[in-house]
Amino acid sequence: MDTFLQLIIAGVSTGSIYGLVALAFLIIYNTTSIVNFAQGEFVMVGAMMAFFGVALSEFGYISTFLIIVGSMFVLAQLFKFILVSPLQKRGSSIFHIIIGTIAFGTVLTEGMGLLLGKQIYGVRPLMGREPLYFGNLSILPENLTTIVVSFVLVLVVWYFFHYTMTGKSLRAVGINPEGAQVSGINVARMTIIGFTLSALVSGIGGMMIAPISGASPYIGLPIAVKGFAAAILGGMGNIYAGMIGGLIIGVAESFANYYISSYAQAIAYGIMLLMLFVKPTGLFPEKS
Amino acid sequence: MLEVKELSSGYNGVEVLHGVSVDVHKGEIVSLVGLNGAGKSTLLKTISSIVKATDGSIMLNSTEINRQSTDQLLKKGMVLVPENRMLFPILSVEENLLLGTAAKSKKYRREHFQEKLENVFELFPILKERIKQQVGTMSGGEQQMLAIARGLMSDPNLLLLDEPSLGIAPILVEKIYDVLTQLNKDGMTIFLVEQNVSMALEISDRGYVLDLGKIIMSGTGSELMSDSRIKEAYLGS
Repeated sequence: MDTFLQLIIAGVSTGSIYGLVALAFLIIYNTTSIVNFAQGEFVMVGAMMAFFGVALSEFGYISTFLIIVGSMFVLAQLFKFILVSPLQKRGSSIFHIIIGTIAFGTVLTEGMGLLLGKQIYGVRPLMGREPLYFGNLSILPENLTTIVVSFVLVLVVWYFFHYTMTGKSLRAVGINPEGAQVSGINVARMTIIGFTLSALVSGIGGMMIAPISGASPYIGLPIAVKGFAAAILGGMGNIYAGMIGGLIIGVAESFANYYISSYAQAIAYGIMLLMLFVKPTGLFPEKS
Repeated sequence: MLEVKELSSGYNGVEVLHGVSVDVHKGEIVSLVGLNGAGKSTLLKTISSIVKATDGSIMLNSTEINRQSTDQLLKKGMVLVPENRMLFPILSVEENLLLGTAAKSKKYRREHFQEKLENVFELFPILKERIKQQVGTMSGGEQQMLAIARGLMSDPNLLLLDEPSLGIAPILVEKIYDVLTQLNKDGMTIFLVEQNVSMALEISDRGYVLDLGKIIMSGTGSELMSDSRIKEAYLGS
């Protein structure tokens, strides 16, 4: 029983990171219909900034957090003004923009890789390395922080999208950009808000991951794949659905790691493929 | 109120409108009729800054508005009710109406949203019954009413309507036209694009005929209705 619960805890902990990445995916998808394949690289930039802040420059976590917020803000503007806007002005289709995001991500990874190489850099955790015990069960403080931060972020973003004027306007732009424009919504402004919000969530995801699995220029792709699988599993139309998808994949991986460890890496792909065959709209499709 | 002079525009380098001039005076209902593909919707989209003009000028209340964005134009009191309605099908009626106030300030929403809601419910009582309903589940006629209502939420004084009768049951078309006449009586200026020529010209003070991106005829509603060329080309008699 203890093993079972311990595996659940481990799964929820990694799953909440996948959920966070899925959330970042879904924010952009639901505001612009763009699937951002550079999302993993956004997380990587967040993780590298955590390394620069905490490990390299010995800043505290608060100042590091501010550095991450700043860099993610800049990254979102670059994404919009270097990639998306020029393509949109040329009348490119969403498909072209999606391909462009892959290029954008590659430039980020290889650019960072040129500077820092392939090694994985360790980052000191926020609250020490002593596990917390609940009866026979244990959890590392950074895993607990990750779970709490991820859940809170999903709730906050979900609330923002459903109960604020800006959030509803963002969804409107995602549903029908021209309809949003004739309603009087400033579509360009909403797009930049969507990108920035998504980049911030990615950056926080990176900050959470850095102390757990280390920071490296090349962590983006595997994280993006898991996050994307989580979003597909949950359903692309719902902001909170990615977190549920992430938890399912995280827990499945955790059990697979314990019982059939050589297949563990295939779990996320397997679940994603199964879902695409059985129910491509995901577990929680948007009602329409 | 609205003066369009020598306006040209199009898509991806292909010109659709070639030097179109149209005037709409305060308090009028003016129709623009023409066949499919004449450029009627393009004209409304260009006026609303969804499609950019390549040449010519658009003046609203004697101010040039060529370079203004759609949301700025809504703030100035001009709103487009687009073809195919362009609603948000997975959102509720109430949310769609709320989004109609997006160009307005928070203060406007706080002070006038309820009042505007009551106003549009008075015009279209069915929307009140459907307030929490998801828009995608409503009939085409109800959705058209909602599209007009969403336009009215920002308190416009010039309404641009693109084919409000398209694909709608005749009884609802009549209801919508009654509302348009009512709005006009209360001071709303209306620029109406229609393929339903007789219906549009009947309620209009003046009308224009657009063909292949050019205005080929204009006059009062009754003048156009009795013109033999119009009868032949558009009224089928």
